[in-house]
Amino acid sequence: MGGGGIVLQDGRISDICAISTSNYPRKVMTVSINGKGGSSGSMVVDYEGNIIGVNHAGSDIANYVIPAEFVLEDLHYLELGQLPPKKDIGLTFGHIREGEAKKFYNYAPEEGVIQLGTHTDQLPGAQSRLLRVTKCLPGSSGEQIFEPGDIITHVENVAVGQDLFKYYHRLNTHDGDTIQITFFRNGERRTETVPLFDLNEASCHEMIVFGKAIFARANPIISLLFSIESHAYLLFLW
Amino acid sequence: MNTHALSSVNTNYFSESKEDGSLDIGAIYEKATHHVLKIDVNETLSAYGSEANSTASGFWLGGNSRLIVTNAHVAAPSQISRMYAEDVHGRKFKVKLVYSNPLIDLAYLQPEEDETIQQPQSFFTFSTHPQRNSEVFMIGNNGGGRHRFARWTYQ
Repeated sequence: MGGGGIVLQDGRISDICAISTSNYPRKVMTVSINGKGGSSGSMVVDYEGNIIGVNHAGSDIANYVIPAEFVLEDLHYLELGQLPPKKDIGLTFGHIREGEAKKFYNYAPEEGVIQLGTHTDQLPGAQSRLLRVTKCLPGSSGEQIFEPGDIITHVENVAVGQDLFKYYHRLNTHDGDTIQITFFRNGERRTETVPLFDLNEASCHEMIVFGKAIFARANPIISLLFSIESHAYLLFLW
Repeated sequence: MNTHALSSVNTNYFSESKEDGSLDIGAIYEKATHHVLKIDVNETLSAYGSEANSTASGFWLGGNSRLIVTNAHVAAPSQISRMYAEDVHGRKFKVKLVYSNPLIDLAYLQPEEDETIQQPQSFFTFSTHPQRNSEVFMIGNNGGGRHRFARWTYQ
């Protein structure tokens, strides 16, 4: 195999439900593996021979792995000859521990609306964390409703806990142009109906072809992915 | 443990199971050698045609899918010009992008129509309930060397 070769490295999963912080926040697993250059796209396999994820990025001490549930969701659509949906409302997330949420954000699970225990039972070792909004992308539907610091608890009345996959899965499988999001702000529980947009339909707009170059104006999410200003022009070469 | 098979094609690759249900590491590696691919990407860097090459990993899903999984940041840069996959036997073939999702960083490739490469008929099952602190293996084309373990030597 060229100058490389198949390498098998072993490690342990240190977090099954982390959020990577590179550009767009993604749900990842953290694995204590020293991933060298060229390992992007490697399969990650458990001791029973099942694929648990795909290597995404890493350092000398740990790697981020995309959980297999994302692959299975894509394959569900691809095997039907359909594009997997990429529905969004324009929020980015980080984790916050329940204790911090109570202390700093007046989060009130004693109201009984949060079924954290149920969620952590399903994901042993995932720890008591919640999804906290870190950014509302300019121009998105979420910007009109949410603020950084809001704690998202339910999508269409289904608890999402700390799991970004559950959040996106609910968005992607929801029929309709709007979706109900339940969240906490300043100790108050709120439910809002938020317009959904599909990135498959609105990746770029205002395209200009110039010789072998294409200029296209980026939408807010594309801007975040490429770390450029919202609505800046992207240059594609072909 | 939830597992998901991609197709009904069966395989006896994992006949070396231990008593506790786990598998022999050599069996895992041996099976992976049929699936793991090196992905070579040529990118056009300017409108004047200058190029750069990069190398990463991917793997056949196997069964009936004819799909290769890799990362979106590997296979879907905006200025991509050519993309090849190479298996452990040194068979190199041209691949095309079927779908990529940069939000999740996953991409799916297929051999070009005129490629006659055979994909493995075996397939891996998927687990969506990994356990924290459990031991896992990353298998790919990283760092050079041929057919080796990072911690052990496998001949």
